[in-house]
Amino acid sequence: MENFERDQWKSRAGFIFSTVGAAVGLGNFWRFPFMAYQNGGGAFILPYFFALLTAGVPLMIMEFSFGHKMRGGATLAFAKLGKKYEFIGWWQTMVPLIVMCYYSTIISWSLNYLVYAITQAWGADPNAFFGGKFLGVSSGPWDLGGFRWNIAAAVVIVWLLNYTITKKGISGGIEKACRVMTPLLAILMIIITIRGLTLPGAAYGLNWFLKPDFSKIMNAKVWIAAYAQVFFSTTLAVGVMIAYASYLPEKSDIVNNSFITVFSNSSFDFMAGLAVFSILGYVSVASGVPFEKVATSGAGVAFVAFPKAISMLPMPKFLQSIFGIMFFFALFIAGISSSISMLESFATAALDKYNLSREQIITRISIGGFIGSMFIATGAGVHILDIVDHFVGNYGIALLGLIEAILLGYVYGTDKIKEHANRYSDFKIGWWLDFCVKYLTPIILGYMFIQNIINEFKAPYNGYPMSAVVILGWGTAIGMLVAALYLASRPWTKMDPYLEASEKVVSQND
Amino acid sequence: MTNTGMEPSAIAMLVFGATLLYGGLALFISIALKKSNNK
Repeated sequence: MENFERDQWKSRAGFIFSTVGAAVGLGNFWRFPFMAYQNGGGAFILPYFFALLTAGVPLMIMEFSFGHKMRGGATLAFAKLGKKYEFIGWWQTMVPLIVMCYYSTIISWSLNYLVYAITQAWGADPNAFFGGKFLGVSSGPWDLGGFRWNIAAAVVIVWLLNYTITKKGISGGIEKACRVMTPLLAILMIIITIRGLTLPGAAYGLNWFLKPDFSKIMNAKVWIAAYAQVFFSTTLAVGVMIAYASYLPEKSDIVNNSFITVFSNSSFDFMAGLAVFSILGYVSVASGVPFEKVATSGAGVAFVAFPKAISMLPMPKFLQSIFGIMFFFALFIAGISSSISMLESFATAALDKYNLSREQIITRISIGGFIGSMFIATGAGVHILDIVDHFVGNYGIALLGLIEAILLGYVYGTDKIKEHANRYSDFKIGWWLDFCVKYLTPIILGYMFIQNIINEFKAPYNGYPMSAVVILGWGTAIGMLVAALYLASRPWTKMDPYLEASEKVVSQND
Repeated sequence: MTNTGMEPSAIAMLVFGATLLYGGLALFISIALKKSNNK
């Protein structure tokens, strides 16, 4: 057992670009706009903003403060809280480990489409192209349907990038990459949004996105949807923000950095809504197809609706292709800056516990993740992805967020969170954090979790065979917990967090 | 499916949302810059 030098962010801007890069991902493009569309249009902004201030920011402050104070990723931080809590840290880092597998494959779709945009290879029917020629969707999750070699080749590139960036560490890899990627993503988004807003029919699409239906915000479901959006979009409860904050220098702001990270992510959300709905409005008006039929949610927006829009843009084909390349490059950057944060979450957890070099750990995770991604690069990939994402995303994250809020709110204590967060921050926080972390968040996440469980037992998810739901869905969810318990039972080879924690108690008593 | 302009209520929500989010972000960034300049 030996002490080790912990890497550090070189600058505050580098840290913020990296946390924003982690939070802004593929979901910003296709989740927020449709949540608003389905939940009261512009009126959704009210519960969304309320959720931002009562869940997004307080939980971000809580995670930054906890990771920074404990000087460790999720595993070490929870282990320092108590031996019996170590598995919570491992459980949290299991989520990005699993998500990374299919997330990297979706990034590889963007890479493929970036090349397709040059010739607009999707042709006249982007829907048939996406599901048929490109994905080769099989009959179900148990029918692998063979490898999609073009996707598999892009998966190799994505994992090489993930590996190369994270292998170089926090300041030498992630910070350097995000200082370029996050501002570049913002610039690309601004260009895409301006082009969207200046299209004929943009106003028609924006009416669907922003016209408020205030009667809907009296519905509890809309408020839950707003909280879910803020919670999932800000990459909370998966060990990423705890790991990133653990590399902050000692005298670092916590409170304002949390506000900037959460507001930046939501600004991306809102801008994506403007871009997506203005462009869909143009497609609807130009093609005479009702808006409801144009506006398909999920990945279909990026890989079906957008290709269609690109081919219809009122500009020469050459410029259409440039616009397409820009859009898919923006998706690619958003994806990579998030996937490296997922890799780092687990890597930090393992680095803290095991006496292995960063390169050894990153290599092992990358090989495992790459193999996982290759399963998604098959004809059954979309089915597998859909089931695993439903269980890991819905249950894993909501449950882990609930446990985290209870543990940090009641066992660790919000006074300690506030005291540490307020030490060097630009401004201070008070009772509001106690209320949000101890009462509001557990109630909302608890309600979300129970509602999801009730819905789950009404019918197999999305009509998939029960065997697939049990093995791929429940199996993955339970497997993550079992793996976390196993890893928590293994001895620490780099340091002893329990000894450190008890030493601190002794010195405090002296 | 007509190419009409934006409805007043949609414009109001656009201004409201943009002011809250981008205004809020600008405020927090300006606080951070001010504090770092004072150090």
